[in-house]
Amino acid sequence: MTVRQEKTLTARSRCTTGQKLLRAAATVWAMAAFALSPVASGAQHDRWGADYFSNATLTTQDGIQVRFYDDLIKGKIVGINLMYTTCQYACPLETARLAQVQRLLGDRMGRDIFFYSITIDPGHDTPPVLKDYAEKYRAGPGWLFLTGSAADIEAISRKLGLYSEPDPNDPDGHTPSLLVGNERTGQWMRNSALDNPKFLARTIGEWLNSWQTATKELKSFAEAPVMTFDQGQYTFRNHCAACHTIGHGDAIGPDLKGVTAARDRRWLARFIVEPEKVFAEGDPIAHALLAKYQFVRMPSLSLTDADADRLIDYITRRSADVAPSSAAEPAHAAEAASVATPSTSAAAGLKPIVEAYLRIQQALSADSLEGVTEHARTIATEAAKIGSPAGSIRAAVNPFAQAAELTTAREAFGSLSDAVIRAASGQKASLGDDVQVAYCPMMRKYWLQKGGKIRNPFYGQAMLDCGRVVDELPPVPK
Amino acid sequence: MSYIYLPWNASNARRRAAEAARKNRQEIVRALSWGRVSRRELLKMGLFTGAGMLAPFGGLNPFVGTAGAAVPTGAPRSPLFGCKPFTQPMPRFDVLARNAVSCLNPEPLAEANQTMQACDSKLGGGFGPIEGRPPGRVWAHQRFDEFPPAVGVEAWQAPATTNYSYNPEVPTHLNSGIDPARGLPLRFHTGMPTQNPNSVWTFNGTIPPKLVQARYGEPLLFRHHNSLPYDVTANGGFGRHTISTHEHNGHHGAENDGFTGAFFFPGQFYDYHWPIVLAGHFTMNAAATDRMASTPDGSGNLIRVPGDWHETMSTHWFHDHMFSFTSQNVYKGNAAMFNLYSGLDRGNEEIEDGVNLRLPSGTAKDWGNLDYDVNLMLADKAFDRDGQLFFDIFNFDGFVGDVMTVNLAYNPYFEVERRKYRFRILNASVSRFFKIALADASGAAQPIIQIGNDGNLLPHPVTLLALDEIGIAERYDIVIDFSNYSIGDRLHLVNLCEHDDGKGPKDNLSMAEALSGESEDPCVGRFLEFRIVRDPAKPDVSRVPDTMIPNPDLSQIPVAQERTFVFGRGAKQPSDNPVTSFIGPWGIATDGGTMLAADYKRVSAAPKFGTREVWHLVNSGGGWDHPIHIHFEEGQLLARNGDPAKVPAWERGRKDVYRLRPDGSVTLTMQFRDWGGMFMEHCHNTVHEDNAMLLRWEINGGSEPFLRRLPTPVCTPQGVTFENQDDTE
Repeated sequence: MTVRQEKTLTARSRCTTGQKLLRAAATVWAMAAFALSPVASGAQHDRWGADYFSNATLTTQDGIQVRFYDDLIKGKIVGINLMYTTCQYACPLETARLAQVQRLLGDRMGRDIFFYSITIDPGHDTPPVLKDYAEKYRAGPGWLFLTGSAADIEAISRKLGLYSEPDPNDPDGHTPSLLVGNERTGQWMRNSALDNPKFLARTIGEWLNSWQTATKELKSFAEAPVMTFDQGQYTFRNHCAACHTIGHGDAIGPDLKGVTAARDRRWLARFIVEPEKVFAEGDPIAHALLAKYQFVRMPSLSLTDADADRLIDYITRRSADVAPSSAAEPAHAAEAASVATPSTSAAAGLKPIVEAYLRIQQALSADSLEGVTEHARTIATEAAKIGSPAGSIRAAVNPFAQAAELTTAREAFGSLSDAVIRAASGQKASLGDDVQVAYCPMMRKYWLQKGGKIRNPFYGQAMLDCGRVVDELPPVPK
Repeated sequence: MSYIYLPWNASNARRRAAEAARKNRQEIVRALSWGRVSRRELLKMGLFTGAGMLAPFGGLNPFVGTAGAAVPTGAPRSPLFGCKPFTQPMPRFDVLARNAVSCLNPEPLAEANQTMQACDSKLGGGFGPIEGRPPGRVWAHQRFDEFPPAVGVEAWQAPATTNYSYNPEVPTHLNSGIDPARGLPLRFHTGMPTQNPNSVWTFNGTIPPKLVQARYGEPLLFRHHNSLPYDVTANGGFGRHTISTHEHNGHHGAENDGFTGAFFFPGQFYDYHWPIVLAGHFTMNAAATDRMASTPDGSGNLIRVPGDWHETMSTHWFHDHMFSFTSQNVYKGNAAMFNLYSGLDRGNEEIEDGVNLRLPSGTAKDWGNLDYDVNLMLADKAFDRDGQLFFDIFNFDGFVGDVMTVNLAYNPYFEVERRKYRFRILNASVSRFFKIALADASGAAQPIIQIGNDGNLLPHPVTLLALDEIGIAERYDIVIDFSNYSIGDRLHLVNLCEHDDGKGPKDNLSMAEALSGESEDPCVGRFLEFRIVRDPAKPDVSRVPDTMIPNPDLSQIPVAQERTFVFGRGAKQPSDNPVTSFIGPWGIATDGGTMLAADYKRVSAAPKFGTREVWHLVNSGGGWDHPIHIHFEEGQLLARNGDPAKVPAWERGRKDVYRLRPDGSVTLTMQFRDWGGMFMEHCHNTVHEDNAMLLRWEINGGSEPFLRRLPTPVCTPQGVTFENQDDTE
C-alpha cells in the first residue's frame, strides 16, 4: 500500500493565486456595491412600503385621524407596540419603560423617531382614555396612542407580526414586543419593550440608521470596566426603576426611600409579589396609593419571595445611601482596575500623534491636502492605542477621513488642535523638540508647529505669517 | 386544508379569498389547539455572565412567531422558469484554500487589530478599526500563544457574483461532469435567472457553498472579511450587512464563537481562532499518549493529540449569528460547512493503522479525501416574480420556501459509482424539518446507514429505511451503498415531512403518499436524484465498522448537580431582563419550583469546572418540538421520557441539538471544561428566535480567565464601545 504525499491540502508557503484574485475582487465588490447601491436601493426596500403596510385610519389620543402608512410610517423611524389601558400585567411596565427610552432619545422624538402604542381593546380605550393613560406615564411628544376599529387593528398587527391569538387560558398572554423599524431603509426588527432602555435608545436612535447620527466620541471596549453585581440592584433596575426612584422623588410611582422602614415588611413583600391580591382584598393602603398616584396600579410581575427579599434589602441599603453591595464579587473587584488600564502611558503615546499632526499642519499651511488623510489615520490609530485619555483626539480626527477640500480640513483642524493641546496640557516638554504653540487671532484658534516662524495652517499661503507664538499652553475650554 | 402557496398567476380577488380562507382555517386550528405551545421556546446565546448586564442586544429576531399570526399573504408560488427537476447536476462544495498563516496580511493578533481606516460615509464616516472584533484583553483569543494558528483560511462575505475559482477538490467525473474551469454564475438552475448581487450574499459571493477542511491539532485562523454593501438599504429587501460568524459546534473560547452582539461591518474583518482540540484537552490524556486521540500527519501516520478521543467530532457548519437578522442572513447565503478530520475519521479509506475507521472517502491523499465523502446542504428557498431570492421579513410564523435546493441547486441529480458513499447532510433551512428516505425507481424504501448525528460519529451505525426528522442545524452523516444497484438505475432522496407553514411539521407522510405528488407542500417528495453511472475504477475498500466512536465514559466523573427545567405554558409574567424580556405564556419551572417565565438568573446555573451535570428538560403543555442547541460541548442523551430504552439507536451518540418532542422530556448529561466563559442554549429554529426563554450558565471554579462581568459590546463602524451600566436616569 502506497501512501501518496498530500497534494493540495498542506498549507502552502506561498499565497494562492486564488487568494490574490479574491482580494482584488473584494475591492471590486466594495466599489461595485457602492456604485450599485444608490440605484438599487430604491427598488429593493420598497418591498416594505406602501404596498405592504396597511393604510387604515386610526385615531390618536387627541382625537386626530391618521392613516397608518402615509402619516405614521412613511419616512420615519418608529417603535410600535400593542397595549391596553386596563392591563394589570406587562403593559404598565412596558409603557413606563418606553417613557424612559423616550427621555433618552431627547428631541429626536417627534422629529424623526416616533412611538406608537396601539390598543388591542378599542372598545374601552377611547381617545380620552388613552390620553389620560399617556399622561399618567408621562409620555412625551412624538408618541401617539392609537385606537381604531378592531378589524383594522387586527389587520395592522398581523402585518407587523405583533398579533397574538387570544387565549382563554391566558387572557393576558400578549407579548411585550416592540417592533422597531426604519421605513426609509427597510430595516425592521422585533425587540422587546422591556429591554434595557439604553440599548433600545441606541438601537432605535443610531443602529437603525447605520450610525449616521451617532456621536463619534467612543469609549473603547478595551476599557470596559468589570462590574460588581448586586442582585438586588439588578432586580430593582429591571422591575422597579421604570416607575420608582429611591431618593429622587416621585415618578410614576412613589419614591421608595425609607419605605422599608415605614411599612410592615410582610405587607411590603406581599405587595411586591402579588399586588393584585392585595388590591382585591380591599387593602386600604393599596387603595390609598392607587388614588394618590393617578390610579396607576402596581403591576404584578411574578416576582418570587426571594426577589422581594432582595428588593427590600436593596431599597433599605440605598435609602441609607449605601453603595450597591460588592460582596457578591470579591474576587473580581481587583480586576476592575486592570482591565481599564491603557497599554501605554499617555505622555509617551502622544509623540507619534504630534508628529502626524505636524505633517498635517505643514500641508495645510502649504495649501495642500496631500497625505492629510493618511496622517489623520495614523493619529486615529495611535489615539486608539492610548484609549480614553486621547478620546477627544480620536473624535476630533474623524472629519479628516472624508475631508475632500481644504476648507473642510481647515475647519476640522481647529478642533484637532484643541484636542491635541488639551491632551498635552501641562506637558509641553512631551510635545517634542522645538514644538511651539501658536495662535491665530482671526480664527481665534491655537495650533502647534515646529519652530518659531509662523506658518498659519488656517489661511495658508494667503496669510502665512499671520499669528503669534504663545509661551504657554493655553487653558483650553472644555 | 388551505394551501400555503397560490398558483403563480392567481388574481387579486383570488388572493383576498385565500386570505379569508386562511383566517377561517386559523379559527379552526386555534379551537383545536388551546393546549398547544404557540411559540417556540427559545434560548438565546450570550457571552458574559452578570445576568443581564452582560446580555447581548435584546433584539429579537424579526421572525419570532406569534401565536396564529400567519400573515395571510397567499404567497404566490415561486416561478421556476420552466425548469424541471433533475435536469442539472449537483455541484460539490467549493473548498476554501488552506494557506500558511503568513499569507494573512496583516498578521493575526491575539487582540483585535485596532489599526484605523477611513469609514465610508454611509457608515457614518470618520475612522474605524480594520478588525471588527471588540478590542482589549477580554476578547483576545484565549491561549493564542499555546495554540498559534497553523493554517489560515480567508473568505469574503460578498454580494452574488460568478465563480471563476471553483475548487471541488475532486476530479470532474466524480462531480457529475461539472467543469470547474467554466465560470459559474450564481443561479439556482441553469434555466433560472442569475441572482442580482444583493439577492444573495455568501462566502466569496459565489456558489457552490463553501467547505473548510481542518484536522485536529492544527489550529485554524479563519479571517472573515465583510465585503457587503456599505449602504444598509442595499439588501434586496432582506438581510443586514453586519455579520457575526458562529462555528457550530466548535470547542473554543467564547470570543471566537460568533457572539450575536459582536458583529462587524463592511470594510472590516474578524479573525476567528479555532484551536481544533478534543474536549478534555487539558484534563484527559494530557500527555497525548493514546493513539486513538490523534490526527493525520500527512505521511500516512498519526500525530497524537491530547484529549478524549471519544469526543472526536466530524461534521460542523458555520453561519451567521447576527442578532435579529440571523435567519435573514443565513437564508441569504451566509452558511458553509466544516469537515473535521482525525485519526479516527481521517478521510482516507485505505490506511489500516488500528485507528482509522476507513469510512468512505478516497485514497489519493493522506487525509481529507472528498471523492466519496459528499457534503449535502438542504435548504428550501422562495423567489419573487423575477426569480430573485425572496424572504418575507414579517412572516413571524416561520418561513418555509417552496423550492427545494441541495447545495443551492434546485432539485439536482448526482452521478454515483457502484460503491459506498458517505453523505454529510446539513439542514440549513429556516424553519423546515426534513424526513429523508431513499427510494428506488419503484418507490420502495432503500436502506440508509446512519453513522453520525450532529456531526459526531455514533457508537454503532444504524440502518434505517427513513431517517428521523432532521431539525435546523442538525447534521446526519449517512452511508449509502450503491453497489446494490445496477448501472443506469436511478434512486431518489425523498422528503416525507410535510409543512403547512413555518410553525412546525404538520405530518410525516408515507413514501407512497410523498411520491404521489398529492401533497400541497411543494418540498415534499423527491428532491435529489442519484444516477448510477459506472463501476468504480478501484475496488471499494471503505468500511462501515460495527463500532465507531463509543460514548465517553462518564461514570468516573461525579454528577455534581441535577437540574430540571420544565418548559410549558401557564407561566406568569417573567422577571424581565434585557435579553429575555418576553411576557408570555412560556415558562420554566426549575427544580420543582413555580413555573416562571424564564430568566436565566433564576436558573443560576453555575456548573463547576471539571464536573458534569444531568439536566432534565421537560416539555409540558402538549406543544411542539423544541430543538435546543447547546453551544460548545457535546452531551449525551440518557433518557427520553424518563426511559433510557426510549433513546433511539441513532441518538445514542453525542449531540448538540436536543429535540424535546411534544409532551416529551429529555435527560442529558454534559461536562463543563477546558475553556471558560458563558455558554448559552437556544432553539435553533432560526425564524423562531423567540426570547421567551433563556438558559445561560457560566463555568465557575476553575482558573479560566473569563468569569468577569462586563458590559455588552456595542459595535459601531468607528469602533466597539459599551454602555455604562449605571442606573438609568
